[in-house]
Amino acid sequence: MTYLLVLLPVFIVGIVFLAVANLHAGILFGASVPVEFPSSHAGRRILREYRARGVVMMAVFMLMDAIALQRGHADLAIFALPAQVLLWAALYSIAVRRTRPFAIQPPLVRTASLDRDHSLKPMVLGCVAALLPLLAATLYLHLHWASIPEIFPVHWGADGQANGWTQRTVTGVYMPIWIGVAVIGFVLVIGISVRYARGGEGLRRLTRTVLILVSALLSFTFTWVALLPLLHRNGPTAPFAAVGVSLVGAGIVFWAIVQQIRLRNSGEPYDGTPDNCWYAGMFYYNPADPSIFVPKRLGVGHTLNFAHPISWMGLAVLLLPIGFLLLHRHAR
Amino acid sequence: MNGAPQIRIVLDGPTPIYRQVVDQIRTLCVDGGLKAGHSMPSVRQLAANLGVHFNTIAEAYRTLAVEGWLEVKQGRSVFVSERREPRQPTRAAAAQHSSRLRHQVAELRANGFSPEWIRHEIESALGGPE
Repeated sequence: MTYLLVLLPVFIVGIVFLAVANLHAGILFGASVPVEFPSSHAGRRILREYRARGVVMMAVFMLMDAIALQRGHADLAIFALPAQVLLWAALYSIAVRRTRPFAIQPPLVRTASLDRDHSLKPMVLGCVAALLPLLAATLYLHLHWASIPEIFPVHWGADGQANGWTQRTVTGVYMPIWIGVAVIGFVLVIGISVRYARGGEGLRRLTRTVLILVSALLSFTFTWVALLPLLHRNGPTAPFAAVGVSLVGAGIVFWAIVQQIRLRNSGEPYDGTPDNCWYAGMFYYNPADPSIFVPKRLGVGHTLNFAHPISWMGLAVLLLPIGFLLLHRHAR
Repeated sequence: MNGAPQIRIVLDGPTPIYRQVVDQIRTLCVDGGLKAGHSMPSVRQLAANLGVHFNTIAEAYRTLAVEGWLEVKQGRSVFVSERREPRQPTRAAAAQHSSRLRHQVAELRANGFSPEWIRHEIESALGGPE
């Protein structure tokens, strides 16, 4: 089980980095290139070398992780993940440098649907449905309050052993529910804001479908965490559920990548943004562009235009509660 | 992707964005791509989707409303109008459009398009269902 918990993220990160190079029509490694360039001799060579080096690196990391786990160094294996991400980033930047000489001035063509926002309703309904398990868990916990132990575990190490506990208080018991509701609410706000995002209806629908799936996964995760005080008496379930959540999360990532490739092949012009407004291929800063959300060049969905203060405010709304929770946990 | 009517603008093209938006929506209305009663995206939404200034789309919608193609209802709802037969054009309007058409034909001839091709295109444009 521990092997799966450690090796699965390494595998997912590897697949994501392998896929992001060529997910959008006319864009390779974040640079604007002719649409046919990825299938040209030079384009194929850059892609082939990036993928070959990446696969070898991924295999080496998985082998090293497996050896570290076998020798009882689970923490060492976990720290290998950020190192792997850094190395992937290095490989990516090498490929970016090799692609840049083939970059062209992108055609500043933009398209938009003149139809109503059809995917908004499913988005709202999906997020509301995701709140139902949390509400049911609240009711269940309330009805079984007396069965909740006075002290119960809330955190587990990579070895599956509990290493953090809390008491049976309203905050201690219902905190996962509150966090779940807040996070799903935030996902809903993003889904509604996508109405004002650049790009066609296809990309908007894809972003929202991913958000619905993520909110369902978050709902399941927080419901399960909230019910742990009642479940854990039958044995440690944390590692099993963590592997399950990781597998479903990986499924969502792979599905999104496949859908993005299908969208790429539909031939619609992509983002119509100038290359010099993209930093590291992922941060967009263009004060001349009124859009807050623009299609990502690295990955699936939309990203923020950091030239607008509202983007920073949105980021603060997301990060401040996380920072507060981390500080709160550290203080305790 | 889903067959929904689309608008496509070229930011660095010779035609102003406002004009591209007006021309394309009008063409869609004339060709039947946009039916009467069709609910249009709000000014703010279309501006954000295209990444252009709010005022550009507001001005385009205003022009199309004056021409009778769009109807802006209370609040932000914008619909394609049930357009009645246009009133008889004035002599001034006829002269202005005649001049524009002649300029356009002259430009096409200057760029090497044959009179047959121009005639075919005009007939094809006139042949669309209204």
